[in-house]
Amino acid sequence: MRRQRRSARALRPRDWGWPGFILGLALASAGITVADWQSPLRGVVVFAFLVLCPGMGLVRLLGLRDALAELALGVALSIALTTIVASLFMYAGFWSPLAILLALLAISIGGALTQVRLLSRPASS
Amino acid sequence: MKPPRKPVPVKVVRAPTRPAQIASPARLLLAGSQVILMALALLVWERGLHTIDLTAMNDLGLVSVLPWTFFAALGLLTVSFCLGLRQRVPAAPLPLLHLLALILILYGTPSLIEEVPRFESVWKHVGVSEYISRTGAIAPEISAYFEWPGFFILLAFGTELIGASDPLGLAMWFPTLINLCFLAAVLLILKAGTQEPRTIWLGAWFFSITNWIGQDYLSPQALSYFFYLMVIAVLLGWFKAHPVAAPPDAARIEPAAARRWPHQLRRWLAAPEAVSNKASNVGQRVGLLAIVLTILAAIIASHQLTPFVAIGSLAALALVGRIKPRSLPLLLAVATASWLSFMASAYLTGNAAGLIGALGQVGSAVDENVTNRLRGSPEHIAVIYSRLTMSVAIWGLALLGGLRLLRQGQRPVTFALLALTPFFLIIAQPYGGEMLLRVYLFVLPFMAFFAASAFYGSPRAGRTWATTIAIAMVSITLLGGFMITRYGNERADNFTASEVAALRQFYELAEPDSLVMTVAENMPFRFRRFEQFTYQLWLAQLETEGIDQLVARLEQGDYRQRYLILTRSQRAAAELLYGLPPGEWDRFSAEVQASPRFRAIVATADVQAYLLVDERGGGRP
Repeated sequence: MRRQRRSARALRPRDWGWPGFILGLALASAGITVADWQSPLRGVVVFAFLVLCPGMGLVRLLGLRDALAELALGVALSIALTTIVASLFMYAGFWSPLAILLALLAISIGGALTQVRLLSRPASS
Repeated sequence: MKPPRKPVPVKVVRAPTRPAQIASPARLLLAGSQVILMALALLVWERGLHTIDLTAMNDLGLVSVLPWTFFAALGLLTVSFCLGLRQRVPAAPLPLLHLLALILILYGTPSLIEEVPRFESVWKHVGVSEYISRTGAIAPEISAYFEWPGFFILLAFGTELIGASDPLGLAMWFPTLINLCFLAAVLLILKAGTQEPRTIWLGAWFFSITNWIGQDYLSPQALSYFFYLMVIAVLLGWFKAHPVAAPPDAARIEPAAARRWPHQLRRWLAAPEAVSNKASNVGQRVGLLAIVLTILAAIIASHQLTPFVAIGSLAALALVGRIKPRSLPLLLAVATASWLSFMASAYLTGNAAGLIGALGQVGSAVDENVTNRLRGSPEHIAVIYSRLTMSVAIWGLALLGGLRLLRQGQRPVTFALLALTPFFLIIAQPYGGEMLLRVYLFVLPFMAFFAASAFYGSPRAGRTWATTIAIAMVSITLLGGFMITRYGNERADNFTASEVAALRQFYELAEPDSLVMTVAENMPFRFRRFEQFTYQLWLAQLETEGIDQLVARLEQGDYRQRYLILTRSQRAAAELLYGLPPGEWDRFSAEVQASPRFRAIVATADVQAYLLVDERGGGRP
């Protein structure tokens, strides 16, 4: 028998907290870098993206319910992922900061969108 | 058939109950007092920063020029923090705010009063990342840094993405930022080891006021240390295993057998954990394990020593069944060996004899790590003794805490293993005389836990004024020691903007493929054109040989040009760290200046760079 499809749960504003932050920072970093915007703010935005977004995009999927653990793991994983992705590009003989940024954007945005998708999933009865 | 073993009795320490939601007037008054004291501490500290004159610093380091307000600020913060610990369960944000303020004061002060990033290695690391940015490649044939290049690749990528010319802005604030990361990791570790909140906060406090090692500058080891702590935090938080070495059923063994040491040891190692794993499902555990593996991969690609510490610590925990999966250290060992074999083979080939020869040489390890460091000016020797005293103090306090826990029937085996295992590294490798420092750092979170347990060994302990006063006195003593031990070399470690500007000018003028002679390494150099110069030191010959021998040494080898650089910070290092007698530097400097063989190409108050010329005053002798 076909299961009846249930409608997605409406997201509350607070559900958008981290996913929105990650998406905003990722898009801002991409825009700033592509436009080569020279401003002290560029350093702050890009630095925040690099140390938070790739990791938080993935760590939040685990639903650890421990803010300190999530934040610390998010930072550690962000830096570790950036190190590994950038090193892979280097050892592959294809050093391109823009390509590395694209890979990190994919991880961050993919993680954030998956968080939104999981949050909007109807609770199983 | 053997009867099934009885389960090991697990002594569960109940989590302290949360305080009532409605705060009592006394609690509100205490919290208000703490906020006022903390704000006052920060205000007093900030006001005092404007009065610091770094040029007046002597060989005791930064402590010699700090105003009384700095110490008053630390005193106020300590008093406020200790008052908060009088509560059974301190109100969560307040101890955290105190720790953040503490880190800002202890680790952020140099960033606010010094002109450029301190520490010579920072500038070298900037140079490695500049090479990667400039060439888009790594060069293991130039330096071992490129055989563990992960951190430098990260730095080069980040710098390019930010659109900066170098990562010096990050380097300036890196110690503060990375210490915040350490704090988060240490809090997670402590939370996985005890349910006593005061031990957690006091342990983190002790960690922050005794981390004088200075391995938190912009470097692969600083980042790898954070990674190491996070791996331990995840494994202790979610992957603790029931001890496998469970003691046999007490009823089935003879009393004599029970008294034998193997049985006693097994009982010890099988002691239950004080805190159970955090609740998790299979998906969470798989995800966390993937994160651990990713972080370990980043460690392997970034730093040569940290993987071995991680292997040792994880192996110790896995061997006695404290963590799972028990194959994790084996996997890490294989990955580390693979990296050494394929990615760092040049280093391994060139240093294999030295690495193997140093194995088990305890005497030479002690000489390199302790005895050889006892040199320099009288004030500097006092600083070294302060470091030894401070190490012994925190370890002694940890021993007291451990004994107190034992008396109360607690067996924190996991933390004991993590506090002791890294010491095997001293026997394995002197690491250029730095191994004892590194071991101190790796065991510090666990020593801090035991030290805090000396005051809060049980839920009922430590609520008297005597305990509060004792903690405040110990903290103030350790904080006073911290400013001497951490910043004791500051006269040589800090640089001026004038030094950096002069050396930038030198790198613009200097020809590639040249020899650069310096007296000591303490200067902001190698941050540009990392691969284009060969560097040599003249420190050992400074007192015994004259200018003719220096010229002869410079003329050796096939170089395009030969340069000599003398800086204020080199002089400070030669006098402070190596005990160069007063007046020697001035004599040497005057001789160089008077020699027709040296022509000044950069001359400022802080830096003199000379080109070696022939007798007629022309270049390329």
